[in-house]
Amino acid sequence: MALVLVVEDQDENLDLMVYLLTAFGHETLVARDGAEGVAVAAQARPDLVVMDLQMPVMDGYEAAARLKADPGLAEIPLVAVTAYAMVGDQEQILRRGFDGYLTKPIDPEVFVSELERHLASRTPDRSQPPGQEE
Amino acid sequence: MAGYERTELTGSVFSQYFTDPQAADRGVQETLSRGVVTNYELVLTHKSGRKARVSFNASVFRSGEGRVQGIFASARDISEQSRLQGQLAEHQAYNRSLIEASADALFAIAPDGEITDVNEEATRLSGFTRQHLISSDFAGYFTDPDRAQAGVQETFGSGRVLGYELTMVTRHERKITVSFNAGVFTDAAGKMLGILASARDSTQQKQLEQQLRDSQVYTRSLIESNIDALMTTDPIGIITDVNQQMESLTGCQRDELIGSAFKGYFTDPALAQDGIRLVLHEGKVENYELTARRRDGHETVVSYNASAFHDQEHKLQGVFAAARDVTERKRFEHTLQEKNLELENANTAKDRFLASMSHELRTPLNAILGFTGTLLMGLPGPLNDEQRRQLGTVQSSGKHLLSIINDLLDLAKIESGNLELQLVPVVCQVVVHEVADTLRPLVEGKGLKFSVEALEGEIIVRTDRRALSQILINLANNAIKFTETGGITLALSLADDGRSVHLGVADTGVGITPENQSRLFRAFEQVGETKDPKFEGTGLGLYISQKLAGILGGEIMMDSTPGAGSTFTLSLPAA
Repeated sequence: MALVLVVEDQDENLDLMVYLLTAFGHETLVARDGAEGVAVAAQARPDLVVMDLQMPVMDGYEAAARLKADPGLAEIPLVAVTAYAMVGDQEQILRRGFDGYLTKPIDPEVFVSELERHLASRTPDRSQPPGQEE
Repeated sequence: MAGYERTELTGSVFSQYFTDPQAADRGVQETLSRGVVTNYELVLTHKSGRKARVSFNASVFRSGEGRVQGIFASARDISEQSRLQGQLAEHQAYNRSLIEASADALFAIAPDGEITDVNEEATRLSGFTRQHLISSDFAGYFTDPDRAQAGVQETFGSGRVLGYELTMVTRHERKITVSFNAGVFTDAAGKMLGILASARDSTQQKQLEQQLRDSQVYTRSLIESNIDALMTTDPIGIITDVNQQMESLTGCQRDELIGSAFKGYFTDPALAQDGIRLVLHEGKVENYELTARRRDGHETVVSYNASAFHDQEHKLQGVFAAARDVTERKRFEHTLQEKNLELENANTAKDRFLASMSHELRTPLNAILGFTGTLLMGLPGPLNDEQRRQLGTVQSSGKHLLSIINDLLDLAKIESGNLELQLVPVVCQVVVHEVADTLRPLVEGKGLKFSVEALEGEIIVRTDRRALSQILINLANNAIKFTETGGITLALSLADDGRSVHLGVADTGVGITPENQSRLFRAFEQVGETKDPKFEGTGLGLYISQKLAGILGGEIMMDSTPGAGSTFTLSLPAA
């Protein structure tokens, strides 16, 4: 069980991701744009952040840069969810601060297995979810 | 006469007194034989030695019986006469040569109008011989004899006529315009003897004058017919000539314009004056824009081309300036700019539309495919077989719809030229292995053998990595789709000449018949008779791939044997 922050502006995708995470026993936090995502992450210190790239106010790349620039948040695994990614996009996404990426439309099985992989690889000192502070 | 005394002469020999005694003797003999000689000229030697030309008239005198007694010879000193005659002859020769030397045709005309003399030039001009001309009627040689006659009379009346024009008809029926100067000539006593008329062929001069007039008319009509408003100014900018267009431009008459200052007809006189200065300084200006203000206030934007002009001695005469009404052009340019802006906006709008479509079309599919997935995973609860079958159809239809949308958006992007390519050195081996990694689960999931045959080392092409990957994935997806047994091979090789890189996707699938091969790369065409739903696609994959290959400077080649398989090879220029 982990605390996962989902940053996504589209209701349908947000619903799906929250549903899947909840179905597999995780707690979730949500934010609707990059700026809010950074703020929530700073406050809640989740175990994993799943973030869309195209969002209003602040896009995923900018938010990733903010998160990775903060020493207290830089260790949190960051997974991008992007529409219609190509082979080769992965490089750019990874170069710009993300630890992994998923393509839309979200394939539930791929989504779940990928997030589990990232949660499993997280550093031991971040295994204690700070969700109780909410 | 001889200077001798009578006594001296009498009894002396006659012939001894002449310079030519033999001629004197012959004169005596001639007189004796013929009885008389007249004007027998001899030169008498005066006792002083002076010579005198004398003319003898001589006759024999006879006795009563008729016997010749002697000769009576009377001599007259003709030296002076001879000299005068000589002078006269000289004068005549001189006059004749003057007459002949004249460049003009000369006619001497008697008071009755008859030609009494002509020179060579007169015969040349008229084409008639001297014999023909002399004693003929002068007036008869002209188209208007009455006028010719009147000219003669006028000369007699006033003593002199200048520049009297007549049209002469030559022997060859050619009409030539001649200009006469004529004056009377008189004898020593002042009696009018006739007139001397000199004629000059003015045809050539006429022609030159005509040519000049013609060319002036021509120049004028050039100026007037010019679409531009033309004018000349003197070096300080005072208008010296204009055409009608200049009148319409300013709303002022020609005579008002001429003599006035050029700059006064423009909204910015200083700028206009600067224009003149610039022309004088640079020799010419082009596309100098001014706004002309007509008398009624109407303004016209004009573009001036102007140059300084000089006389034959290269002395500055002024400025020649042509103004073209560019109001329309300006308006056109403005409209064009607006249109361009509109088009840009439209293009931007289209780009925005494409971007939002790609977002908006996919978003609902995310939910459809995502929640179909969660249902099929059984997360909300168990499904019966029928529910599972139906949801499977929803899922596959959704995936098909997604691929159509993706292809269409790709195509729109390519066709609109909005595809942003980043041409960078790309290591082919890396891309091939990436694509292989992406596709391997799909190939192996279908029970096919998957192999990669890539050359060792690094083959580098300068290309767009995304586009290259997309082409390979499209080709490989097709191969997987149409292959049921055997395998798929990704191959990387260099062309024999080393100038292109070949990235091949070979399958052991159904293959393509020669008839179908030609339709293969067209949009929205899928070949084959099969209605098998698992082959369904947009038919855009190969079309898009071929387009992309072209944009990258390469092409896709195909080789296929029906029933045995196909090989699609992307050929790109080697870096």
